[in-house]
Amino acid sequence: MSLNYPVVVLLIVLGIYCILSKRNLIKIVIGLSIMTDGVHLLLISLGYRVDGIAPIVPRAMLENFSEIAERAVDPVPQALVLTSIVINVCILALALSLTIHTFRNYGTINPYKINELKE
Amino acid sequence: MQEKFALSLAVIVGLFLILALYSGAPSFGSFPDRPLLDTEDNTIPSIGFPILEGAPEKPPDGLGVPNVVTGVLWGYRAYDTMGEATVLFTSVVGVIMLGSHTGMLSLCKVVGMTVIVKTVASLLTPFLFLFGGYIVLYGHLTPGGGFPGGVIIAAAMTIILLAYGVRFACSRIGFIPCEMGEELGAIMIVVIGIAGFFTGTYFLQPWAFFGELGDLLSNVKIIILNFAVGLKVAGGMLLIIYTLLTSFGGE
Amino acid sequence: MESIFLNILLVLVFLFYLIAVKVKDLLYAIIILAAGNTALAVIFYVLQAPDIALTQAAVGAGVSTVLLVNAVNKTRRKE
Repeated sequence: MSLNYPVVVLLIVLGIYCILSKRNLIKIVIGLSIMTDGVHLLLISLGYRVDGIAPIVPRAMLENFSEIAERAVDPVPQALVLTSIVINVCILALALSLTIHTFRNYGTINPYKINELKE
Repeated sequence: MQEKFALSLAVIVGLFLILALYSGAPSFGSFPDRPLLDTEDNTIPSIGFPILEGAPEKPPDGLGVPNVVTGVLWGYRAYDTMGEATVLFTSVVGVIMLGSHTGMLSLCKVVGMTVIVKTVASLLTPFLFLFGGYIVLYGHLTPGGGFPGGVIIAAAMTIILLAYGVRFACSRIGFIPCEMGEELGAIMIVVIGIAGFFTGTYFLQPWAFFGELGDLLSNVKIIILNFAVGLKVAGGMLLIIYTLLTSFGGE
Repeated sequence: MESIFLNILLVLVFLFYLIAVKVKDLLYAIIILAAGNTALAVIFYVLQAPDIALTQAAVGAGVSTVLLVNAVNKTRRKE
């Protein structure tokens, strides 16, 4: 019994709940990060196989590819997630920059009070 | 009220996820019943291209790197990776645009931590730079590549920044070298991609093979691309960190 | 054995993230988020993805923590 898929579901639910219910922009950014981590864990779990090895061919296996073909985990989700992690940190930096900008202009990081102050 | 609504909406999404994961998706650990690599002609069945062949006479047909993740990243999904580099560039531009007019580097005070922290940082960071460079340059043989190596170099520079203060760090590696590194990385990626046309293959496809599969110089194109993207990621991350630390009112 | 280790790590990650969402002090939330990211990197290593583990450890515990702490430093600490 593996807990991978339940934890993935719980992480995504936690992220959505955090984004929808919190009244603080930094907490919302944290929720976004948590949801992305759940998606990464889901993608890596989909490509895993029991008793697998990493998709890196060691020097001893260069002659026969059949063993690595039968035992390696899926490399394509790993390449996707590697791309996604760096995009995630870009989004984080831009969102935090916008948060600080909001705080300097409106004096609050509560998204529900920004509307009141604008008028 | 709002909290209950958020919780119920999240639980509904979770129920849909459970339904999808336990009805359609393969159960955990049972990835393919099919083998990853067709042993007859060395192809990945889901993609259809041969992989890991490394034959110098047929460059477009093999990736020629032992680390398959790096091979997929710079072979079949090279457009994807180039687009990701563009996303990084956009993020850097956005952060600088939001932050540049609100603060000045000269307004920052010379801050730093105690002597103990400074000594530990000065002893630790050379090895971190070496580790980052190793991860970038050996990314096609061992785990790693341009992205982790660039982030590790940026993190090593961040340790110096936190120990000695922003002005000291900017006097070592300033804004201008970071920007130059980032743009040089982007230009290198595109030039290497276009060079594929002149060797008879497609844009960003493998074209330079020397030596045996598994040697350091076995695939020069992926080494150069890893170096370019490492330069780009390190420069971009450092620019983001510098801008966020110095702008918006300083420390 | 490996499966038990993996399950313990998964539960640990979920608990870390739950605390990070629930706690009121944003600085504590960020430190606990970094701990959760490190545990997630170990999970990726156990799931045979060393590239992802390297990137996740460097990004999650290094860069994003610096960015978040800086943002909290320039805004309010309490939620």
